[in-house]
Amino acid sequence: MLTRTMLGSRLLAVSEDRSAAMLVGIRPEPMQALAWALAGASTGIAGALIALFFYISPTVGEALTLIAFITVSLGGFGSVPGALIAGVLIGVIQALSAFWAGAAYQDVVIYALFLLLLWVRPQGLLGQA
Amino acid sequence: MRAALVVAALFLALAAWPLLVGDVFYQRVGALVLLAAISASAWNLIGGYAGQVSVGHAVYFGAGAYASLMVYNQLGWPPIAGAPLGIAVSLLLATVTGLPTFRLRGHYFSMATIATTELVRLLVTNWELLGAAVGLMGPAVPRSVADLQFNDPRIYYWIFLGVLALLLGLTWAMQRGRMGYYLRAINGSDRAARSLGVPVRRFKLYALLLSATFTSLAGTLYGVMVGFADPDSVLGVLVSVKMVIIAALGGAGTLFGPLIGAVILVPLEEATNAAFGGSGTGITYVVYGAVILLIARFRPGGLAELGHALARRVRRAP
Repeated sequence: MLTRTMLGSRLLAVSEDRSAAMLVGIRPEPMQALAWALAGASTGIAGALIALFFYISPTVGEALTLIAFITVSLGGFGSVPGALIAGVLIGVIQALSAFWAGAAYQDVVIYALFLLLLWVRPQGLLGQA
Repeated sequence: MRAALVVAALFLALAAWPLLVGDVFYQRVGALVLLAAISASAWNLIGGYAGQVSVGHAVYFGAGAYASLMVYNQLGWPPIAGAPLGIAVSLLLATVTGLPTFRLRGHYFSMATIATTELVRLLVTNWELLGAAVGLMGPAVPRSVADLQFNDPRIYYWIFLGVLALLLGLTWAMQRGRMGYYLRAINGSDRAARSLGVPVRRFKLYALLLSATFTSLAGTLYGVMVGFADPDSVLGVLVSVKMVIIAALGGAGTLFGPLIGAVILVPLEEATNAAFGGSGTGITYVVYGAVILLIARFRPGGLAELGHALARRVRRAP
Protein backbone atom coordinates (compact mmCIF):
# COMPACT_ATOMS: atom_id res chain seq x y z
CA MET A 1 0.00 0.00 0.00
CA LEU A 2 2.73 2.47 0.93
CA THR A 3 4.81 2.09 -2.23
CA ARG A 4 2.29 1.04 -4.90
CA THR A 5 -0.78 3.24 -4.39
CA MET A 6 -1.59 6.93 -4.68
CA LEU A 7 -2.80 6.91 -1.08
CA GLY A 8 0.52 5.56 0.11
CA SER A 9 2.44 8.21 -1.81
CA ARG A 10 0.30 10.91 -0.23
CA LEU A 11 0.94 9.46 3.21
CA LEU A 12 4.68 9.39 2.66
CA ALA A 13 4.60 12.91 1.24
CA VAL A 14 2.99 14.26 4.42
CA SER A 15 5.46 12.35 6.54
CA GLU A 16 8.41 13.72 4.60
CA ASP A 17 7.41 17.37 4.51
CA ARG A 18 4.08 18.56 5.77
CA SER A 19 4.12 22.01 4.20
CA ALA A 20 5.42 20.80 0.85
CA ALA A 21 2.64 18.22 0.77
CA MET A 22 0.09 20.96 1.43
CA LEU A 23 1.54 22.96 -1.48
CA VAL A 24 0.76 20.15 -3.91
CA GLY A 25 -2.78 19.84 -2.64
CA ILE A 26 -2.61 17.10 -0.01
CA ARG A 27 -4.48 17.80 3.20
CA PRO A 28 -2.25 16.52 5.99
CA GLU A 29 -4.89 15.95 8.67
CA PRO A 30 -6.78 13.09 6.95
CA MET A 31 -3.47 11.45 6.10
CA GLN A 32 -2.27 11.63 9.69
CA ALA A 33 -5.64 10.36 10.92
CA LEU A 34 -5.39 7.49 8.44
CA ALA A 35 -1.89 6.62 9.62
CA TRP A 36 -3.09 6.62 13.21
CA ALA A 37 -6.07 4.45 12.31
CA LEU A 38 -3.98 1.92 10.38
CA ALA A 39 -1.40 1.74 13.17
CA GLY A 40 -4.12 1.39 15.80
CA ALA A 41 -5.94 -1.31 13.83
CA SER A 42 -2.77 -3.35 13.26
CA THR A 43 -1.82 -3.08 16.91
CA GLY A 44 -5.36 -4.15 17.78
CA ILE A 45 -4.90 -7.29 15.68
CA ALA A 46 -1.60 -7.95 17.44
CA GLY A 47 -3.41 -7.54 20.77
CA ALA A 48 -6.10 -10.03 19.78
CA LEU A 49 -3.40 -12.50 18.76
CA ILE A 50 -1.37 -12.13 21.94
CA ALA A 51 -4.48 -12.95 23.95
CA LEU A 52 -4.35 -16.46 22.48
CA PHE A 53 -1.25 -17.47 24.44
CA PHE A 54 -0.50 -14.73 26.99
CA TYR A 55 -2.25 -13.54 30.13
CA ILE A 56 -4.10 -10.24 29.77
CA SER A 57 -4.27 -7.33 32.20
CA PRO A 58 -5.10 -3.63 31.71
CA THR A 59 -1.39 -2.84 31.44
CA VAL A 60 -0.43 -5.71 29.12
CA GLY A 61 0.58 -3.32 26.35
CA GLU A 62 2.68 -1.01 28.51
CA ALA A 63 5.95 -2.88 28.24
CA LEU A 64 5.44 -3.42 24.51
CA THR A 65 5.09 0.30 23.72
CA LEU A 66 8.74 1.10 24.23
CA ILE A 67 9.84 -2.22 22.74
CA ALA A 68 7.84 -1.37 19.61
CA PHE A 69 9.61 1.96 19.24
CA ILE A 70 12.98 0.33 19.81
CA THR A 71 12.18 -2.32 17.21
CA VAL A 72 11.26 0.26 14.59
CA SER A 73 14.31 2.39 15.28
CA LEU A 74 16.51 -0.71 15.08
CA GLY A 75 15.01 -1.54 11.70
CA GLY A 76 15.11 2.06 10.52
CA PHE A 77 12.18 4.48 10.53
CA GLY A 78 9.95 4.13 7.49
CA SER A 79 11.47 0.85 6.41
CA VAL A 80 8.93 -1.98 6.18
CA PRO A 81 11.42 -4.86 5.76
CA GLY A 82 13.60 -3.24 8.45
CA ALA A 83 10.77 -3.43 10.98
CA LEU A 84 10.17 -7.08 10.11
CA ILE A 85 13.83 -8.07 10.44
CA ALA A 86 14.26 -6.03 13.63
CA GLY A 87 11.09 -7.54 15.08
CA VAL A 88 12.41 -11.06 14.63
CA LEU A 89 15.83 -10.02 15.91
CA ILE A 90 14.44 -8.35 19.04
CA GLY A 91 12.26 -11.38 19.75
CA VAL A 92 15.20 -13.75 19.47
CA ILE A 93 17.48 -11.53 21.57
CA GLN A 94 14.79 -11.24 24.24
CA ALA A 95 14.28 -14.99 24.39
CA LEU A 96 18.00 -15.73 24.43
CA SER A 97 18.79 -13.14 27.12
CA ALA A 98 15.92 -14.44 29.24
CA PHE A 99 17.55 -17.85 28.92
CA TRP A 100 21.16 -16.81 29.56
CA ALA A 101 20.81 -13.89 31.96
CA GLY A 102 17.46 -14.55 33.62
CA ALA A 103 13.95 -13.35 32.86
CA ALA A 104 14.37 -10.20 34.93
CA TYR A 105 17.11 -8.96 32.62
CA GLN A 106 15.55 -9.59 29.21
CA ASP A 107 14.31 -6.01 28.87
CA VAL A 108 17.53 -4.64 30.36
CA VAL A 109 19.41 -6.19 27.44
CA ILE A 110 16.98 -4.66 24.92
CA TYR A 111 17.19 -1.15 26.45
CA ALA A 112 20.98 -1.32 26.61
CA LEU A 113 21.02 -2.42 22.98
CA PHE A 114 18.86 0.58 22.05
CA LEU A 115 21.18 3.05 23.80
CA LEU A 116 24.14 1.42 22.07
CA LEU A 117 22.34 1.67 18.73
CA LEU A 118 21.92 5.43 19.20
CA TRP A 119 25.70 5.73 19.51
CA VAL A 120 26.77 3.57 16.60
CA ARG A 121 23.98 3.50 14.02
CA PRO A 122 21.11 5.88 14.84
CA GLN A 123 19.47 5.47 11.44
CA GLY A 124 18.85 1.77 12.11
CA LEU A 125 19.75 -1.33 10.13
CA LEU A 126 17.97 -0.46 6.87
CA GLY A 127 17.24 3.22 7.37
CA GLN A 128 18.72 6.07 5.39
CA ALA A 129 20.81 8.58 7.27
CA MET B 1 11.08 47.02 39.06
CA ARG B 2 7.39 46.37 39.59
CA ALA B 3 7.87 42.77 38.54
CA ALA B 4 10.65 42.36 41.11
CA LEU B 5 8.35 43.68 43.84
CA VAL B 6 5.58 41.28 42.82
CA VAL B 7 8.01 38.35 42.88
CA ALA B 8 9.37 39.37 46.29
CA ALA B 9 5.82 39.65 47.63
CA LEU B 10 4.98 36.25 46.18
CA PHE B 11 7.94 34.63 47.91
CA LEU B 12 7.16 36.33 51.20
CA ALA B 13 3.59 35.06 50.94
CA LEU B 14 4.89 31.56 50.17
CA ALA B 15 7.29 31.71 53.12
CA ALA B 16 4.52 32.85 55.45
CA TRP B 17 1.98 30.24 54.29
CA PRO B 18 2.79 27.52 56.89
CA LEU B 19 2.59 30.11 59.68
CA LEU B 20 -0.94 31.01 58.63
CA VAL B 21 -2.14 27.42 58.34
CA GLY B 22 -2.15 25.53 61.61
CA ASP B 23 -3.06 22.09 60.24
CA VAL B 24 -0.03 19.80 59.89
CA PHE B 25 -1.64 18.06 56.89
CA TYR B 26 -1.76 21.30 54.90
CA GLN B 27 1.81 22.17 55.93
CA ARG B 28 2.94 18.79 54.65
CA VAL B 29 1.04 19.28 51.41
CA GLY B 30 2.75 22.67 51.12
CA ALA B 31 6.17 21.02 51.43
CA LEU B 32 5.20 18.43 48.79
CA VAL B 33 4.01 21.22 46.48
CA LEU B 34 7.40 22.91 46.72
CA LEU B 35 9.27 19.65 46.18
CA ALA B 36 7.22 18.95 43.06
CA ALA B 37 7.82 22.55 41.96
CA ILE B 38 11.59 22.06 42.29
CA SER B 39 11.67 18.93 40.14
CA ALA B 40 9.20 20.35 37.59
CA SER B 41 11.21 23.60 37.37
CA ALA B 42 14.33 21.54 36.83
CA TRP B 43 12.57 19.57 34.08
CA ASN B 44 11.47 22.89 32.61
CA LEU B 45 15.09 23.81 31.83
CA ILE B 46 15.47 21.06 29.25
CA GLY B 47 11.83 20.22 28.47
CA GLY B 48 10.47 23.76 28.45
CA TYR B 49 13.21 26.19 27.50
CA ALA B 50 15.19 23.88 25.21
CA GLY B 51 12.09 22.02 24.00
CA GLN B 52 13.68 18.59 24.45
CA VAL B 53 10.92 16.60 26.12
CA SER B 54 12.33 14.15 28.63
CA VAL B 55 9.96 11.48 29.90
CA GLY B 56 12.64 9.90 32.06
CA HIS B 57 13.56 12.48 34.64
CA ALA B 58 12.67 9.96 37.34
CA VAL B 59 16.12 8.46 36.83
CA TYR B 60 17.80 11.62 38.18
CA PHE B 61 15.23 11.96 40.95
CA GLY B 62 15.77 8.31 41.86
CA ALA B 63 19.56 8.68 41.74
CA GLY B 64 19.30 11.51 44.27
CA ALA B 65 16.89 9.64 46.53
CA TYR B 66 18.86 6.40 46.45
CA ALA B 67 22.17 8.22 46.98
CA SER B 68 20.87 9.82 50.18
CA LEU B 69 19.70 6.49 51.60
CA MET B 70 22.81 4.67 50.35
CA VAL B 71 25.28 6.87 52.23
CA TYR B 72 23.15 6.39 55.34
CA ASN B 73 22.88 2.61 55.03
CA GLN B 74 26.43 1.88 53.87
CA LEU B 75 28.50 4.57 55.60
CA GLY B 76 26.22 5.80 58.35
CA TRP B 77 26.43 9.39 57.11
CA PRO B 78 23.47 11.76 57.33
CA PRO B 79 21.26 11.26 54.23
CA ILE B 80 21.74 14.81 52.92
CA ALA B 81 25.45 13.98 52.41
CA GLY B 82 24.35 11.80 49.51
CA ALA B 83 23.50 14.85 47.40
CA PRO B 84 26.92 15.09 45.64
CA LEU B 85 26.89 11.35 44.90
CA GLY B 86 23.37 11.56 43.44
CA ILE B 87 24.32 14.56 41.35
CA ALA B 88 27.45 12.84 40.05
CA VAL B 89 25.49 9.73 39.03
CA SER B 90 22.81 11.92 37.42
CA LEU B 91 25.36 13.90 35.42
CA LEU B 92 26.86 10.66 34.15
CA LEU B 93 23.46 9.26 33.16
CA ALA B 94 22.47 12.57 31.53
CA THR B 95 25.65 12.59 29.46
CA VAL B 96 25.11 9.02 28.30
CA THR B 97 21.53 9.79 27.20
CA GLY B 98 22.16 13.26 25.86
CA LEU B 99 25.38 12.95 23.86
CA PRO B 100 24.19 10.48 21.21
CA THR B 101 20.59 11.73 20.94
CA PHE B 102 21.09 15.48 20.72
CA ARG B 103 22.57 15.16 17.24
CA LEU B 104 19.42 13.35 16.04
CA ARG B 105 16.07 14.85 15.18
CA GLY B 106 12.71 13.34 16.04
CA HIS B 107 11.71 11.47 19.14
CA TYR B 108 15.05 9.81 19.86
CA PHE B 109 15.82 11.89 22.94
CA SER B 110 12.43 11.27 24.58
CA MET B 111 12.64 7.57 23.86
CA ALA B 112 16.23 7.34 25.09
CA THR B 113 15.22 8.99 28.38
CA ILE B 114 12.45 6.42 28.86
CA ALA B 115 14.80 3.57 27.95
CA THR B 116 17.51 4.78 30.37
CA THR B 117 15.03 5.14 33.20
CA GLU B 118 13.46 1.73 32.65
CA LEU B 119 16.93 0.20 32.36
CA VAL B 120 17.99 1.70 35.68
CA ARG B 121 14.69 0.81 37.34
CA LEU B 122 15.01 -2.84 36.30
CA LEU B 123 18.63 -2.98 37.46
CA VAL B 124 17.83 -1.41 40.83
CA THR B 125 14.86 -3.77 41.28
CA ASN B 126 17.26 -6.70 41.00
CA TRP B 127 20.20 -5.25 42.92
CA GLU B 128 20.45 -6.44 46.53
CA LEU B 129 22.85 -3.66 47.56
CA LEU B 130 20.18 -1.08 46.71
CA GLY B 131 17.46 -2.97 48.53
CA ALA B 132 16.12 -4.60 45.35
CA ALA B 133 12.31 -4.48 45.11
CA VAL B 134 11.90 -3.80 48.85
CA GLY B 135 13.67 -0.46 48.83
CA LEU B 136 15.88 1.38 51.30
CA MET B 137 15.02 3.02 54.62
CA GLY B 138 16.45 6.18 56.14
CA PRO B 139 17.22 6.72 59.83
CA ALA B 140 14.17 5.85 61.92
CA VAL B 141 15.21 8.15 64.78
CA PRO B 142 17.32 11.27 64.20
CA ARG B 143 20.85 10.84 65.56
CA SER B 144 21.69 14.52 65.25
CA VAL B 145 20.34 17.63 63.55
CA ALA B 146 22.39 16.71 60.47
CA ASP B 147 19.97 13.84 59.78
CA LEU B 148 17.33 16.48 59.04
CA GLN B 149 14.55 14.43 60.62
CA PHE B 150 11.85 16.74 61.87
CA ASN B 151 8.31 16.10 63.00
CA ASP B 152 7.44 19.62 61.94
CA PRO B 153 6.83 19.73 58.15
CA ARG B 154 7.39 23.51 58.16
CA ILE B 155 11.16 23.09 58.39
CA TYR B 156 11.14 21.00 55.22
CA TYR B 157 8.87 23.59 53.66
CA TRP B 158 11.40 26.37 54.23
CA ILE B 159 14.34 24.26 53.09
CA PHE B 160 12.49 23.42 49.87
CA LEU B 161 11.50 27.05 49.39
CA GLY B 162 15.15 28.05 49.67
CA VAL B 163 16.22 25.51 47.03
CA LEU B 164 13.32 26.52 44.77
CA ALA B 165 14.28 30.20 45.10
CA LEU B 166 17.86 29.33 44.16
CA LEU B 167 16.73 27.31 41.15
CA LEU B 168 14.29 29.94 39.92
CA GLY B 169 16.92 32.64 40.43
CA LEU B 170 19.37 30.64 38.32
CA THR B 171 16.71 30.03 35.67
CA TRP B 172 15.88 33.73 35.61
CA ALA B 173 19.53 34.67 35.15
CA MET B 174 19.88 32.05 32.41
CA GLN B 175 16.73 33.25 30.67
CA ARG B 176 18.15 36.76 30.40
CA GLY B 177 21.62 35.67 29.40
CA ARG B 178 23.12 34.18 26.26
CA MET B 179 22.10 30.65 27.17
CA GLY B 180 18.43 31.67 27.41
CA TYR B 181 18.49 33.08 23.89
CA TYR B 182 20.30 30.03 22.58
CA LEU B 183 17.81 27.65 24.15
CA ARG B 184 14.83 29.57 22.81
CA ALA B 185 16.40 29.55 19.35
CA ILE B 186 16.93 25.78 19.63
CA ASN B 187 13.34 25.34 20.79
CA GLY B 188 12.04 27.43 17.87
CA SER B 189 14.03 25.65 15.20
CA ASP B 190 16.96 23.36 15.71
CA ARG B 191 18.16 23.78 12.13
CA ALA B 192 17.78 27.56 12.00
CA ALA B 193 19.66 27.90 15.30
CA ARG B 194 22.49 25.76 13.95
CA SER B 195 22.69 27.77 10.75
CA LEU B 196 23.09 30.93 12.84
CA GLY B 197 26.05 29.40 14.62
CA VAL B 198 24.44 28.30 17.87
CA PRO B 199 26.38 25.32 19.28
CA VAL B 200 23.13 23.36 19.48
CA ARG B 201 24.36 20.04 20.85
CA ARG B 202 26.54 21.65 23.50
CA PHE B 203 23.82 23.91 24.85
CA LYS B 204 21.18 21.16 24.85
CA LEU B 205 23.64 19.15 26.94
CA TYR B 206 24.29 22.08 29.29
CA ALA B 207 20.56 22.48 29.84
CA LEU B 208 20.15 18.76 30.47
CA LEU B 209 23.06 18.67 32.93
CA LEU B 210 21.72 21.63 34.89
CA SER B 211 18.27 20.09 34.86
CA ALA B 212 19.58 16.71 36.02
CA THR B 213 21.54 18.33 38.86
CA PHE B 214 18.48 19.97 40.37
CA THR B 215 16.20 16.99 39.77
CA SER B 216 18.73 14.85 41.63
CA LEU B 217 18.83 17.38 44.45
CA ALA B 218 15.03 17.21 44.64
CA GLY B 219 15.36 13.42 44.87
CA THR B 220 17.84 13.72 47.74
CA LEU B 221 15.50 16.09 49.58
CA TYR B 222 12.68 13.61 49.02
CA GLY B 223 14.86 10.83 50.45
CA VAL B 224 15.70 12.99 53.46
CA MET B 225 12.08 13.97 54.12
CA VAL B 226 10.31 10.67 53.42
CA GLY B 227 13.16 8.41 54.56
CA PHE B 228 12.19 5.65 52.16
CA ALA B 229 12.75 4.83 48.50
CA ASP B 230 11.75 1.84 46.40
CA PRO B 231 11.95 1.43 42.62
CA ASP B 232 8.30 2.33 42.00
CA SER B 233 8.08 5.40 44.21
CA VAL B 234 11.19 7.19 42.93
CA LEU B 235 12.06 5.55 39.58
CA GLY B 236 8.56 4.75 38.29
CA VAL B 237 7.14 6.14 35.06
CA LEU B 238 4.61 8.13 37.06
CA VAL B 239 7.41 10.18 38.68
CA SER B 240 8.66 11.29 35.26
CA VAL B 241 5.18 11.91 33.91
CA LYS B 242 4.30 13.99 36.94
CA MET B 243 7.14 16.45 36.24
CA VAL B 244 6.08 16.78 32.60
CA ILE B 245 2.43 17.33 33.47
CA ILE B 246 3.08 19.86 36.23
CA ALA B 247 5.35 21.92 33.96
CA ALA B 248 2.99 21.62 30.98
CA LEU B 249 -0.05 22.54 33.07
CA GLY B 250 1.52 25.70 34.41
CA GLY B 251 3.29 26.55 31.18
CA ALA B 252 6.46 24.90 29.91
CA GLY B 253 9.26 27.32 29.14
CA THR B 254 8.01 29.99 31.54
CA LEU B 255 9.73 30.87 34.81
CA PHE B 256 6.79 30.36 37.18
CA GLY B 257 4.79 27.87 35.12
CA PRO B 258 5.98 24.76 37.00
CA LEU B 259 5.34 26.38 40.38
CA ILE B 260 1.77 27.26 39.33
CA GLY B 261 1.26 23.74 37.99
CA ALA B 262 2.49 22.23 41.25
CA VAL B 263 0.25 24.51 43.33
CA ILE B 264 -2.75 23.21 41.40
CA LEU B 265 -1.95 19.56 40.78
CA VAL B 266 -0.29 18.38 44.01
CA PRO B 267 -3.10 19.45 46.39
CA LEU B 268 -5.58 17.89 43.94
CA GLU B 269 -3.65 14.65 44.06
CA GLU B 270 -3.33 14.70 47.85
CA ALA B 271 -7.04 15.49 48.18
CA THR B 272 -8.07 12.53 45.99
CA ASN B 273 -5.66 10.29 47.90
CA ALA B 274 -7.12 11.46 51.21
CA ALA B 275 -10.71 11.22 49.98
CA PHE B 276 -10.50 7.76 48.45
CA GLY B 277 -7.86 6.29 50.73
CA GLY B 278 -5.73 3.38 49.54
CA SER B 279 -8.34 2.26 47.02
CA GLY B 280 -8.18 5.60 45.22
CA THR B 281 -4.50 5.80 44.30
CA GLY B 282 -5.44 4.97 40.71
CA ILE B 283 -7.40 8.23 40.58
CA THR B 284 -4.07 10.03 40.26
CA TYR B 285 -3.57 8.42 36.85
CA VAL B 286 -7.07 9.45 35.79
CA VAL B 287 -6.36 13.05 36.81
CA TYR B 288 -3.02 13.04 34.96
CA GLY B 289 -4.64 11.62 31.83
CA ALA B 290 -7.40 14.21 31.91
CA VAL B 291 -4.88 17.03 32.38
CA ILE B 292 -2.80 15.82 29.42
CA LEU B 293 -5.87 15.65 27.19
CA LEU B 294 -7.18 19.07 28.19
CA ILE B 295 -3.81 20.81 27.77
CA ALA B 296 -3.08 19.14 24.45
CA ARG B 297 -6.51 19.96 23.06
CA PHE B 298 -7.13 23.49 24.33
CA ARG B 299 -3.99 25.18 25.70
CA PRO B 300 -0.71 23.69 24.47
CA GLY B 301 1.05 26.60 26.19
CA GLY B 302 -0.42 25.75 29.60
CA LEU B 303 -2.01 28.11 32.08
CA ALA B 304 0.67 30.75 31.47
CA GLU B 305 -0.64 31.14 27.91
CA LEU B 306 -4.19 31.40 29.25
CA GLY B 307 -3.02 34.11 31.65
CA HIS B 308 -1.36 36.07 28.83
CA ALA B 309 -4.50 35.79 26.69
CA LEU B 310 -6.67 37.06 29.55
CA ALA B 311 -4.27 39.91 30.31
CA ARG B 312 -4.34 40.97 26.66
CA ARG B 313 -8.14 40.94 26.65
CA VAL B 314 -8.32 42.98 29.85
CA ARG B 315 -5.88 45.52 28.43
CA ARG B 316 -7.88 45.81 25.20
CA ALA B 317 -11.26 46.13 26.94
CA PRO B 318 -11.24 49.76 28.17
